[in-house]
Amino acid sequence: MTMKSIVVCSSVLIGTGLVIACSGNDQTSEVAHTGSKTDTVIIENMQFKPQELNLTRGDTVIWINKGVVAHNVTDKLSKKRSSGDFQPGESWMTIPDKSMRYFCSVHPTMEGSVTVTNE
Amino acid sequence: MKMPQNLKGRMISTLACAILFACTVSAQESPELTDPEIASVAVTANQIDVNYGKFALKKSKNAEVRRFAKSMIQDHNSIIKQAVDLAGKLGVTPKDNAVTQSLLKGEKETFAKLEKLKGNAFDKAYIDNEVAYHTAVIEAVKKLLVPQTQNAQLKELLISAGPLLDHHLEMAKMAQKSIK
Repeated sequence: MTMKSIVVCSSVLIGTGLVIACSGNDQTSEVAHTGSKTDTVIIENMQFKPQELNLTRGDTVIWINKGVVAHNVTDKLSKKRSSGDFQPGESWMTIPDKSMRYFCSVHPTMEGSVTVTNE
Repeated sequence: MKMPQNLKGRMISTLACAILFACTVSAQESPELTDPEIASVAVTANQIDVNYGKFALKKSKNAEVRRFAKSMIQDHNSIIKQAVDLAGKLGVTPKDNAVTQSLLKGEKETFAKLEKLKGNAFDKAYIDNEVAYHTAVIEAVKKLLVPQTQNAQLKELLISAGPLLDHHLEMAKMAQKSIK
């Protein structure tokens, strides 16, 4: 995934198009403006919910960690981490520019996918 | 070096007994565990698996085993921190008890066995131990710790760790299949 990506600490303002970001592992803190739809993937009970997400190019995806340990989003094909590890209560957001299957490299049986279409 | 089947069997049964026997004794013959005692059991059980993971990183060169061990260290340290933070917030001081002591005795016995092994025999023994340990801990959390916990937040933490422990067991079983 090559896109704007940030880790946010709980205070995610969804729907306003404005996201206030704070510290974040190897990610860059920034204020991002997005004008498209925002989809949310909740991480809880060792699962990505929803497991499969369909979106349109330009849409934002936010993964929110509601679990008890740190997780990450890693490209299943390249095995490259898209996100750093984000702790319980933290979130990570990105604007995917292509489809991908992903998993959590700390917990390899946790898998999900993002399908991006052009409209 | 191939580990004898009977040694493997003894390791698994020792581990399972360390937890389950203690649980049985506690549930049937001893008074219920108090929340400070449950906090002690929870922290100790997690710390033991962190210790096993650190030992595996020292001894194993197997990529799958090392990856698994790193996950165990990271996750169980995270649970310890949450348990300790919660205990501090609630003003609960973890209290030593028979179950904690039984866990520590089991850890000592397991280390005595793992220390003698190396290479593939170590990898197999470590992962077999992880399967047995998580199986026993899951059982103990469900049947002993959660039912006896009085504080709602401590109970919630124990319940929320359930899917994580189940997942660890699944990961351990997958690693077990990959080690010949």
